[in-house]
Order: sequence, then C-alpha cells, then structure tokens
Amino acid sequence: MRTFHGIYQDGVVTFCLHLPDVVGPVAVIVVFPGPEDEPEPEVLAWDWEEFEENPF
Amino acid sequence: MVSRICCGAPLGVRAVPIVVETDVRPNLLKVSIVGLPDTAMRESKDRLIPAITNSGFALVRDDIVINLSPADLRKEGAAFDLPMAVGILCAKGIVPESRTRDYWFLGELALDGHLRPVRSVLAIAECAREQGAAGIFVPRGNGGEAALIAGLAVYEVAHLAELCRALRSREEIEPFRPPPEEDGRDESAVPDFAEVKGQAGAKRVMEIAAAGHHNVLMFGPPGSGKSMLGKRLPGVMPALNERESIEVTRILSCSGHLKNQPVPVRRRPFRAPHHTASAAAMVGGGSHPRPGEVTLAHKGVLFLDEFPEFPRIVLEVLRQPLEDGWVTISRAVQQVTFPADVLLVAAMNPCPCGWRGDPRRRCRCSLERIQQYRGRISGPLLDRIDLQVEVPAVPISRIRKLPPAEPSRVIGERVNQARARQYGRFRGGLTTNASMSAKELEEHCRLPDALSEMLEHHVERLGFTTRVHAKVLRIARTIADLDGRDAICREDLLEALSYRQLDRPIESGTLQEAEVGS
Repeated sequence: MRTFHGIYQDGVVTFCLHLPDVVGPVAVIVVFPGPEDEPEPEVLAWDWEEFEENPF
Repeated sequence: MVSRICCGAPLGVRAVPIVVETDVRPNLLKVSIVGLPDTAMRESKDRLIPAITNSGFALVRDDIVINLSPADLRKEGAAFDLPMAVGILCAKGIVPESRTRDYWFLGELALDGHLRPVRSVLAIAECAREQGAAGIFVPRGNGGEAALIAGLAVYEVAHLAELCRALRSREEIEPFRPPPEEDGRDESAVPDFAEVKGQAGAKRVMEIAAAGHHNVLMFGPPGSGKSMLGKRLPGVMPALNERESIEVTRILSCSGHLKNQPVPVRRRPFRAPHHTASAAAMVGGGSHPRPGEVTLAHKGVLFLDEFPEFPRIVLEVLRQPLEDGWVTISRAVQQVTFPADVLLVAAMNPCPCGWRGDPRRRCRCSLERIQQYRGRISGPLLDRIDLQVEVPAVPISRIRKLPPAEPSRVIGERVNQARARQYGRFRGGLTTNASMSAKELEEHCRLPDALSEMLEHHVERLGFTTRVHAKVLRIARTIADLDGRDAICREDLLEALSYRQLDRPIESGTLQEAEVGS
C-alpha cells in the first residue's frame, strides 16, 4: 500500500511517497509552505488525508 | 551484347532496385563504370577482372561498360561487385542470361573470386520481394538475414566460380535454410535489476517507464546508480514482436552494426552515446544519410548520461523525433526518413558540483549556478520527459543490510501485464499510454470531480503547465495499469505528481533532505 507522509521542517511541509516494504521516502511529492502566522504548527507530521482535512 | 542484372541499393533503412547493364566489346581490356558510383564502387573495376579470371574465365582485350540504372541515384559500397561480375559473364555469353532473370545478386568480391558479406542485405531482400524477384544470391554469412523475408528463395554462395557453375548447369540450386533459433539466446547479456540494491523509488519509476513507454530523467549525485538503472531498463521491457524485430534488424544491417549477431535481433537496443556526440551523430546525417543514435536505439533505450553536458543543439534536435517517432534528413539530392521510436533515459547531477542533497559532501553551488546548469535543458525538451526522479546516494552500510533485490524477470512480468491492458484498451491503434492524445486522455483517464479538483489544485499550486497536467494523467494511467485497475485513484495521481520533481522550484528541497528530516 502506497502512503503519502508529510513532515514540517524549516518552515515547509514536505510530503513524500512511501512504498510498501521500503524504509524511508522514495520521492518528494508536494511541498507546502508552513502556517503564515505561527512560527511552528502544533502538529509536525501528517498523512495526506489528515492534512487535506485540517492543514494546520 | 548488353546484359541486365538486378540488385538493390540501400536508401536510409530501405532499399531501391538497381539494374546493372553491362556491354562488352572486343578492344583493349578496359572497364568503365557509370551511373553515380562512389569511390568504393569505382574501385570495383580493379577487383572485377582479377576475380573473374581467378574464377577460371578469360577476359582478353574486351572493353566493358557498366551502367548502374537509375543513373541519377548515388550508389555506394562494394555490394555491386557480384551483380557487375555476373553482368560481365552474361554479356560475354559465359553465363546464360535467361538463368539470372528472376534473381537478384549481392556481394563483395575478393581478388581470388571469393565473396564477402555486405550490409543492408535485409532491406535489399525486402525490396527484391516487393519487385517480384524469385530469389536472391548473397555471400555466405548473409543468408540468415535475407531468409527473414518470407516468399523469397535465398542462395548463399562462397565463390564466384561456385555461382557460375550453378547458373550454367541445369540442376536446381538448393536454397539456404536458416538454422533453428535458440531459445533465450540474448537473455544472459542483459544486466539484471537484481544487482541494484536499494533505489526502490528509481526502480519503481523504471517499471512505470517500461510499462507506459514514458521518457525518464534521473538526477542524483555521482555514483548513486543512475547508469546501472538505465542499462537494466531494456531487460524489463516487453520482448520485440516479429515486426519490431525485423525493423531493428534492418536498421542494424543498414548501419553496419549487425556484424555476427544472430538474426533476427530479439533484444531491445540500448545506445549510450557520449556527451561529445554531434547533432548528426545523434539524429543521422552525412551526404549519403546514415542513421544516428536515435535510430540505432529504435524500439529500445537511448541513454544520455550527463544530460546537461550535451551541446544545446544536440539536445534540441531530439525534440522532433521524441515527439513523432521518426526523423527526416534532407539533402540537396535526396531525403531519407529514419524510424526513431525510442524510450529516452537521461541522467544528470542535481547541480554543477554534483553533491546537492548528498549528506556525504557539502554542495558549494549557488542557486544561480544550479539554475544555469539546469537551464541547459530547455523547457520544451523537459516537457517531453514524462518522469523525473531523484536517485539519492545509498550509503554502503545500508546497501549491505538490504535484502536481495527483485530480479528483472519479475518486474518484466508486471510490465507485460500492464502493456497487455494497454493493447486491449487501444485495440490495435496506439500501443502505449505515453502516446495518448488529448482525445484519448479524455476517454481513458476520466476522473471523478473530487479527483479532478485535487489534481487541478496541485498542478496550479506547483506551477505546472497544461502539458504537465496531461503527463501526470498519462503516468497515473500507467500506474493504474500496473495495479490492474481500470479506474485511476487518488494515490495514482499523487504518485504521478511526485515524479515531476524538476518542475518544482530548486529551493523546495531534495529527497535526502526530506529523509534526514523524517
């Protein structure tokens, strides 16, 4: 099952493609800018669906 | 007496019929060849007389005029030696011309009368059959190539004297019968993906490329395995079908690359020209146009390592053949069209120093230098490359711990299944997803509204063009085909979006930076 996992780092959220049975991300998919007002979001890691429903 | 002997001359990767007219008159022993012969052909006259006399036939005080018809077509090479020698023997009445009428002749003569193999035999044999010839005489070693053309009797001969004996006797000549083809004769020569440990993402991209015939651009630091991956791609592509096999064999034959390879060629071509290659070397050229690398890689892989180091003009001339699958070389006297249906695999470093994103060394390139380096690949050319993937360096300590990698055979089976779905869907029209037009995209990549909106949103956010939007859809279609599904799902689109990495701003980070962060 492919998953898309995002992490917050240095002001941006980077979503990566993860393949089954492979350790670590295999491709960067989308990079989102972090929240404009807050220096750091409360949540630092997301699955795609979670992020789509509630970005920050 | 004037004799007429049929043969053919290669023109591009095809051939045209040529008639060798020979007139012999008693006088001094002198041979003239007319009808636009090249240097090698003009030198034939110095080979013909010794070859004929050493085969046991006397030529004394004869004036010989040989005309190669049509006279306005430039002919080249030594393959006309045999038809000219047979023409002389017919004109002299040594060989009955009636025995030669239904046949074509082809071959280079040695001074002792032995025949040497020549190139372009397959194209000329094909032309002979189209012109209604009953058979063709070729030198020993060329029979297998000519025998690929069904409905044409092939006769292999080793010596001019042997041919003359056969033509002068009333006995039936035994046609050449090719030996049975060996199963899997080429498989061991293709490197296997099992030898590439790690690089799961890049291997996944190779599988998608092979399944949908999508062009690929890999970028990563030196030694990360880009070339290894590229060389293994032909091993997972579907086997050449009969028609493709004949096309590839004909190209190799006409370009003189067939040498002693078994025929027909079953292995997909892999060409990796150096970045100093000229535009003519890449797409073909010369006063008598010869195929270039893009044609030699027809139906196979054209691997361009150090992609931005190729001269701009060389990269730009690739745009048209990549789009159309053929290239036309025009010269003042003739125009030749070469097939050029290739899967392009390009490889490059992420920056001029090569180490951007690599945790082992620090990259010292400024943003401007990186932009300048990547800018050597024009936007229109980049638009023709469907898949762009980062190939990060894998530490040796990690490689050692990785389990054995999946062999090419297993990947190839999945690719074959995905191709079978495409053949079924396009029903004999298109063959792969990469060549879908806007109309076919509409028909075969229809998305529910929610997915359409999601894709449009991200395409706009990432600043992708409409052409890239279509490419993402084509890639998603191939990903769904690999998964055996008719409908494209959200994961297919997101995965396809992730393979357009060079379309994003350079500041957006690399896979290794993301990996370190996670």
